Amino acid sequence: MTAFWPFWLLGPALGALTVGHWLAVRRPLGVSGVLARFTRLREEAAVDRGNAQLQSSAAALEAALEQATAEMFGSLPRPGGAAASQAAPDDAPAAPEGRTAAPLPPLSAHLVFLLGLAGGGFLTALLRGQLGRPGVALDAAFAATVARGPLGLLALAGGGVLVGFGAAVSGGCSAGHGLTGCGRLMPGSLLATVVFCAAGVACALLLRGGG
Amino acid sequence: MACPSLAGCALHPHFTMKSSLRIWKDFFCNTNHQTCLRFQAMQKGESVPPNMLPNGKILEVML
Repeated sequence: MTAFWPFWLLGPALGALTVGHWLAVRRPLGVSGVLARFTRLREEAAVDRGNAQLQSSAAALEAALEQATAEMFGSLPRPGGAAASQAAPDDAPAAPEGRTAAPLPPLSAHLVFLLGLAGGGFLTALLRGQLGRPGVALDAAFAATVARGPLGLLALAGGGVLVGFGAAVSGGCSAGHGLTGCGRLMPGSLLATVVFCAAGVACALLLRGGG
Repeated sequence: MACPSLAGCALHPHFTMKSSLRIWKDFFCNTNHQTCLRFQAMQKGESVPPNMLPNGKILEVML
């Protein structure tokens, strides 16, 4: 049995990690969203290539934009009048700095993130002497499930599919909603966290009652 | 109110460079970002093609 960090230490540590990640890279910290990028690799790679080309072919982009502008707006009057647009004082109120997200990083950066996750788990197991001892790093109920053999593994696989499905339809997982979303007081994330926590408690009570 | 996703938008900086292109910013980014298809895609967590204009048109020059 492994001693986990106490809640009063783990909670602030996770909070500091989440807030620190946002302050450092201006992107919400989540795992399922990163994984989802690799399930649509072709589209994401195209986005990466396009972003790179945006940086490198400014002249061609400008010409295409000019043409698209004429097609879209033609002779439509511009907000504030043509003269106002020509003068174009850049006076629109900008979104608050603390709530604006940075552009999506390239796939390579997210691959490093995922490798870091696996590497962190590996390093922890190595330092604790848990490598090659399946189940030793898990809590008792989880270890008991694994110990059931193929049936337990099947249950874990089913649970994984359900988690993946839920994360996809709700736009985030426990890390994205529970840590980052709640930390930023996003209503959808607060609601999602309440629902999946309540569902988890209900399932645990049901399983204990039946077990 | 300006679009809250400006900092994450690959095209917005290009709309501010030339006065002839600022009409995109006037029409979408500054006043009507809810109708911008780039903003809508970002809100859904979808991939946003960098060469897709706010009206959904794809600029063929890049990809």
